[in-house]
This record gives sequence, C-alpha cells and structure tokens, in this order.
Amino acid sequence: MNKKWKTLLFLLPGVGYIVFFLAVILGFMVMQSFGFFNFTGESGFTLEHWRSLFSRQLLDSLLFSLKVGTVSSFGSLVITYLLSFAIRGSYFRKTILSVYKIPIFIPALVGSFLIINMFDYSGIVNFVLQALHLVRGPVNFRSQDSAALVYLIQVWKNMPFQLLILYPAIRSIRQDILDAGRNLGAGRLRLFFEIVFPLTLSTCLIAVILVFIGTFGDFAVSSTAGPVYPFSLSRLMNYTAYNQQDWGLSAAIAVSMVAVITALVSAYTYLQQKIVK
Amino acid sequence: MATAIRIRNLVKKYGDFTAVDQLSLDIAPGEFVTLLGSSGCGKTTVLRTIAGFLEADEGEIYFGDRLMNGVPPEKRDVSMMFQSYALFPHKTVENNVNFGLRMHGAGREEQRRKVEEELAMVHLSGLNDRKPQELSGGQQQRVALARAMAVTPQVLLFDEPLSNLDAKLRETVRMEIRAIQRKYRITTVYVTHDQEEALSISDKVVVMNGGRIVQTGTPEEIYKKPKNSFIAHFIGKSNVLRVDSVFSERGKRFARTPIGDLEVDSPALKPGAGLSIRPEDLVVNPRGGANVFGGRVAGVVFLGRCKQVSVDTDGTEMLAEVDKDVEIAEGMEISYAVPVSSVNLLREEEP
Repeated sequence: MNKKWKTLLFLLPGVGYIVFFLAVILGFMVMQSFGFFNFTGESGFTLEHWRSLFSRQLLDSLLFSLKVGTVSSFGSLVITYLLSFAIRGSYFRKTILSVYKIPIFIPALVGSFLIINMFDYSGIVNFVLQALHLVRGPVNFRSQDSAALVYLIQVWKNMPFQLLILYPAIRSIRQDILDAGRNLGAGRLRLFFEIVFPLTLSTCLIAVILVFIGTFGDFAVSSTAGPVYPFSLSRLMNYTAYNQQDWGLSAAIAVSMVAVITALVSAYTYLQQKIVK
Repeated sequence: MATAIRIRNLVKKYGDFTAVDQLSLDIAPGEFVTLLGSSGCGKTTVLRTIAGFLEADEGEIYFGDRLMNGVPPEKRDVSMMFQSYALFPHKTVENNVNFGLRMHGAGREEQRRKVEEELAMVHLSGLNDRKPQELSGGQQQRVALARAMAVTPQVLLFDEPLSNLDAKLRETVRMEIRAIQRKYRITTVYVTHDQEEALSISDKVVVMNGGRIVQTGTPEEIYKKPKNSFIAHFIGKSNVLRVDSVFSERGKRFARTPIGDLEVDSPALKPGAGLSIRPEDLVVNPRGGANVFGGRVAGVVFLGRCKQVSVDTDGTEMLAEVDKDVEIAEGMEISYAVPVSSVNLLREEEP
C-alpha cells in the first residue's frame, strides 16, 4: 500500500465520519425536498415543496430568522467590543471576564426561562418599574408580535462566546501601537476605529459568523420567548414535519437554511482573503 | 532663560517600588536632552510621564507655563518614537505618516504635501504604498521618524529608538536624527542606555540612577568631570583612586593614593576624596615629567583602534590605552604618567 493510501486510511475515522454523515444527511435532505424518501405519503419527483417555500409564511420566517441572527450577532459584538476595549489593562479585568462568561454555562432553554421570568407581568423588571412609579401598570414585554425578548436572550447568551473569540485578539494588539495612536492625536473612539477594529476585523468576522449560524438556526429560544407569528425557520421546520406531516417542505426549509449559511461562510472567506491581502 | 519643559519633584511609584524619585529638570526650547542610565533607572518612566502615558504620583510637568498633569497624551502636542517603532501594521507607509495629520484635521492637500516632505527628509520617497512589514528595520525606523515629525510637535520624545538596529546603521540614523532635530529646532528628550550614543547626539546629558538624577551637563562635562565614581565607571572607563592623605610641597598639592603620590590641581582636595582618571589620558612609557608610576602589565586587550592595557601598580589595577601598533605583552614592566590636567576630583565623594 503506498503512502498516499495509508494517509487516507489513517484519516478515515475522523474526516471520513464527518464527510460521510454530512454527505448522507445533505443528500437525503435534498432528495426529500424534491419528493423522494417521503415518510408520510407517496415518493416521487416534485417541485411542490420548493414552490411552497415562496409562501408569505415562509418568507416571514426567513426574514425573522435573518433578523434574529443579525441583531444577535451584531448586538453581542458591539457590547463585547466595547467591554473588551474598556477592560483591556483594567485592574478588575479577571473578575469582569469571569462574571461575563457565566451565560456560557447556562443552557439556552434555562437562560430563556430565567429572562422571561424577569420580564413577565409579575417579574422583577415590572416590579421595579412600578415601585419607582415609572409605569402605571405592568408592561407586556412578551407581546404576541415582538421578538425583543428573543434578541435580548440571544445577545445575553452569545456575548461570552464572542468574548472568548474577540478578547484575545484585542489583547494581542501591542500597547505601543495604541500608545502611538494616542500620541499622534487619536482619542479613544478614533483609536478604536483606526487601529483596534481593522486589526481585529478578521476575528470579528468569524465571531459574527459563528453566532449568526447558531442564532439563525435557533429553536429553543424562539420557541419559548418568540412571537406567536412568525416562527423561526427551525421552529417552522419542526412544525411542518411533526404537525403538518410535510417532511418534504421541512427538508426544503433545511436546504435553504444550509444555503444561506453557505453563502455567508463564502462571503466571509472572500472577505478574509481580502483582509489578509 | 525660557524653558520648554519644566519637571518639578516628579515621583512615580509602581506599588512599593519608586521608579522616579523627586526628579526635577529644566529643558530649554530646541534643546536635545538625553536621559542616560542603566535598565530600571527610571528614564523610560520619565519619558512616558512627559508623553502622558503615565500619571505622576507627585510633582508637576510644565510645557512652557502650561501644567500638563492630567492632560491626556492626544492633547499634549508631543510625538514619540518607540523602541519597537510601533508602526501601524495594517496601514501603508503613507497612511502611517499622515495618521497624525488626519487626527489633527489637516486637509488632503496638506497631508499629501507633508507626507512627501517627510518621506524625502528620511530618504524614503517612493515607498508610500509599502506596508511596514515590507521594509527593513532601518526603513521602518525612518518611517517612525517621519510619522513623528509630520505633526510638527512641540516636543519630540525618543525611547531607545536605535536599540534594534545594527551598529553601523545605528550610527547613520543617529546622525540623521541629530541633523533633523538641529534643522527644525524641536525640543527633544531622548532615552538611551548607550553612553556613546548619548555623548554623540546630545546638547545635554542627564545621567540617572535609582530613579534620581546623578549628574546633568554637556557631554564633555559628563565625560571629563564625572561627579562620582558611578558616573566615572558608567560613562566609559575610569581609574578611580581614593585619597589617603593630602600634603603640599613647593606650592603644589599632592594626594597620597594606593599607586603613590599624585599631584592634583584642585584646592578642594581632601583626605578620603575620590579621583578619576580616564585610561586614554595615561601616557605609557613617558620621557620624564611629573606623576610617573611604574607597574607590571597584567593584561592586554586589542580593541581595534588601540590596545587596552591593565597595569598592576602596588596591587592597584590601572587601565591605560596605547597605540594599536605598540608592542606590549603581559608580564612586561612599564612606566606611565598621569597628566595633572587629567585628574578629576569626584565632587560628590568628598569626605
């Protein structure tokens, strides 16, 4: 056996496992979206599931998931950037970082319930607002068509994750480079946009993409704290497959989610190459 | 005389460690002052406090009559050149040089003109679009100088800017820095631990030790008239002798030292005082004269331009320098003269 085949054989348990299941699952999903492997009816080629994708409900769900992904990834990014830059060199840095990482250890569903409880009619937020006479009666933070709590929970949950990625990048900027910027007349804001942000841009992009992928495909938070309408795409997939028994449409939604994420990762790779250049 | 920078009783502490202790210094407009000292003596702390990167624990810093305590670095009108150059790695040479101009709100035309001027000044015209990592160490150093000069600062600070360059390049860039500073007459504070660099570039040298100023003076004063044995040894090499007793003979004053009786031209001479003599002032194998001593050669080191000879005189080691072509070897008995004019009384070590 030559060296090339030996190397491939050694790689098989790791890479082979990933590639096999990815290929099988993706292939199966694509086939299902075209009417094959139908669990609940007759199988056969059809474009019906893809035509259904362009319904109002599906487009609303797509938009909702895109919004949740975008707001969560950029919202947590802004807060994480501000915090990382502010605590760089601070005496209490270690304590702040430890506290900031707590949400990572709390499961999404538990975190979601905790925050819902805080903002509920009888939650602590309404209690404080009323005690301070800032509102007359309890405020409905969980209104039927609002995604505010979803954004809040996702930002809270993803901030520490982004911190783990971004903070080392910000810390790695040499102090003398920042000093040189200040010395030449840059205030903190210009220092951030002229030096810190460009030097951490590639790390920032990966932090945004990873959080976007997670929140774009989220099921748990949008199911507990999300609006009645629209559903997130994952929630809609679940609903279509189990409640409407339409596994083909569910597969078409899944394929389109993978397509959105693939497009995003491709855009990231392109931008990354431009930055490196 | 007007002062550009006035430092009064500056104290800077890091926990229990006092890095700068009650330091006071006046720097005249356009003057080139070098803070010289070994690692950890507090010279960089003083420089960073002038720049505003560190806040003084006690004392005041004035630029002219303006108190600078509490003024942030970006509002001080000070440019600093860092030991590591600190060029912005993501910006081109041009964008590095015009950074300060943009921060100060200069127009595009002024930026373009200034960048061309500064790059020409440091002999880097045409390299506008290069990134710092595409330049050699010497070129990066020049970009850093152009960037610092572009904003025409009131004060220019240098933090050991030549320490990463090789010896030859260091000498060239050192002369360029001096020429540019002379041309624009910008008040300059330069930090180095290299005494040769300090002596060759400065109008005034401030020698520091343990967070305090030990001596301030022109390079010549510092070299020829060190105040104590620390400076005598730190700036070049010196023979330091203790005065056991003092006596007069035929109207001349003599010091009894471990190498013998030495004529000294100083009315302040007292027993217990210290004397310093530079090795290059000793005359080996003289033809008569005063202050002549003998000894056995204990060691010879070839230094290129000369030979350094260590002479054992009654158990005291004296360093002398002789021409590189002089035949001299260990074990030889030689004589040497100490010219009266070369004997310096260490003023801070008077009893």
